[in-house]
Amino acid sequence: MKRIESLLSHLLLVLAVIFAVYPVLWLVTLALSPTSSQARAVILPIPDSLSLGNMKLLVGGGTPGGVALFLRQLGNSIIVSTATAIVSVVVALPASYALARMRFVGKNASVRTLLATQMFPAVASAVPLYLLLETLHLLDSRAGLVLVYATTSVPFAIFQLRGAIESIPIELEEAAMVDGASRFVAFVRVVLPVARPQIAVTALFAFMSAWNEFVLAATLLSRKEAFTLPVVLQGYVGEHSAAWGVFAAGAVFVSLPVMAFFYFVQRQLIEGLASGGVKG
Amino acid sequence: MVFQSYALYPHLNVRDNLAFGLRLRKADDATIAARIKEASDMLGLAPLLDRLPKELSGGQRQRVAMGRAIVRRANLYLFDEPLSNLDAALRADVRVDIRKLHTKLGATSLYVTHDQTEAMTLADTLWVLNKGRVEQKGAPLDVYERPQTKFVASFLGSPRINLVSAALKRDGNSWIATSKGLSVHLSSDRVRDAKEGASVILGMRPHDLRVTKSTADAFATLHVDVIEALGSEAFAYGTLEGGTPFIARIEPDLARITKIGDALHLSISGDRVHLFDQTTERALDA
Repeated sequence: MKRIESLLSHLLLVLAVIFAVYPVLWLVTLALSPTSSQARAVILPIPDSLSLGNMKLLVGGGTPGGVALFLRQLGNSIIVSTATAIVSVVVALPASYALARMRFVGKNASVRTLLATQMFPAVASAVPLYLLLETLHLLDSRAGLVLVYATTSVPFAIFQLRGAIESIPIELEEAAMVDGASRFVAFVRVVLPVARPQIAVTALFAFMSAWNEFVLAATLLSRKEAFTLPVVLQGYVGEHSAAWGVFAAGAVFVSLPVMAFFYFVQRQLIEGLASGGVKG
Repeated sequence: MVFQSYALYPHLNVRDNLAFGLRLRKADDATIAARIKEASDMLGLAPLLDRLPKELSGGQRQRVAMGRAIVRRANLYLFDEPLSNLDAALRADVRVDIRKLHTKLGATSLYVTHDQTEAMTLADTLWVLNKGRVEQKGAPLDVYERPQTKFVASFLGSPRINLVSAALKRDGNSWIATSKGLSVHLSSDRVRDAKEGASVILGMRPHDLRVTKSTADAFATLHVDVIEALGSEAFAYGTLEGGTPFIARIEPDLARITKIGDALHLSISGDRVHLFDQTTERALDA
C-alpha cells in the first residue's frame, strides 16, 4: 500500500514537472535552432540541429554597433534591477522595523494604506507615472525607472521585512541593550544579521520584479539606448514579422541568471538563522 | 541580566556572544580574551567557544547566557527565571552552579523565580511577591517558619500547607482552635490579642505532623485516600472527620503498611501551628 502511494505521488510529481518544463523545452529548442528554421507544431520539440545563430543575432552580432547597444541594454537591466533591490531594502528596513517594534499614532492606518497600494494593478498607474516622470524629466532614464519600480516593491518589501523582524524575539534586542547597545546599534548588530536570509529574499524579489517587468518599461522608455531587456525582446515580435528564434534566445538569456542564482542560494534562502538563539 | 529565554545572539558563536558587550564598550582585545577565558573556565564553556547557539543544549545555552553577564563584571546581576526552560535534572545542576557562581562573584544578584526550591536554596534574602506587592521578606528559613500571611504560608512548602478554618476558644491560660473533626492546643506565642470565638485559619505543614498510636495525643484523625511513597519520605492524602482535605508526612515504614481507607491519628506541637486572621489573612503573631 505504501509502495503504491509512493509510486502514485511520484507519478504526479513527474507529470507536474513535465507540465512545467514543456514550454521551457520549446523555448530552449527554438533558441538553439538554426536561424532559418521555422517554428513547427510537433509534440516533442527536439531541434534538428543545434545552432547559436539566434543568440548571435540577439547580442547584436548581425548589425553594426549592435553588440554595444545590446551590452548597454543588458547593463540597463542589471543596473535598474540592482538599484531597485537596494532602494527597496534600504527604504523598507527602517520602515518595517518601526512598524514591527514601535507604537505610534497612525501605525495601523499606514499599514492599511500600504496594503491598499498593493491592490492596484501596476498598469493602472502607468499614465500618472508617465506624467510625473515627464515633469521630473526622468523619462527614458534609469533613475526614473528605479523610482517607479520602487513604488511597487517598497510596500511589498515592508510587509516581508516587518514579518521577518516580528519573528525575531525582542529579548535579543533587549539583551544587546543591556550589553550597552543603543537601539540603533542593536538594530544594526543584531536585527540585521539575524534577518539576513529574509533580507536577501526581499532583495531578490525586488530584483526579479524589476528584471522581468515589461509594461511600465515599455510605457516609460522610448529611446533604444534606454531599453531594458524585456522591452528589447518584445521588439523581436512585431506586427508584421516575428523572429521567434531570437525572441526565444532572449527569453533563455534573461531567465538563465535568475535560475542559476536560485539554484545556488536555495539552501540559504530556506535556512532560518533565527533558530537556536532562544529557548527550544 | 540573564534572560528566561537565554536571548543569545543566534548569528554569533559562543565566543562572540560573550565578547559582544565588551566590544560595544570598546574594551581592548587582551581584556576581552582574558575575561572570556575567566568566564568560560568558571562555567565550563571552553570546549564550546566556537559553536553557534543552535548547536548547544539548553543547559549549555543557559551557561553562555550567564557567561555573557559575568564578563561584564557588573555590580548587580538580574536573573529572570533562568532555569524554567530546563528539565528537572539539569535544573538542579545549574541551580548549584548559579549558587557557586554567586558566591565566587560576590556581587548582588536579584533572582526572580516561581520555583520555591530555587527561592529557598539560592536566596540570602527572600522576597515573596503577590500581585506586585511584597508580602514578606527575610531569610528563607525565617519566612518558611514564620509566614506572615496565608499567601506566603501556602506559597512556600511542598506539599502545600494544610489550611483549615477554625474558631478560637480559651482553655484556662492557653488557647484551643476547634473545627469539625479537629481540636488543636495552641502555643501562646502564636496567639496575640485574640478574642474568644474569633474565626481563624489554621496552617499546619505536612512535615510538622506526627502519627500517634493513642487518640489522646491526637488533634484529628486522617482517613487515607492516597499514599505517595517517595523512598526517603511519604505523604498520606485524605480527609478529616468533617471532610476537610488534609495531607500528612509519614515515615516510609508506615507508608508500607498503610492502606487506603485506614485511619491515622495525627498530632502536632502547638508551636508549629500557624494562625491567620480569617478576614485579613495575616498571621496572628505578626
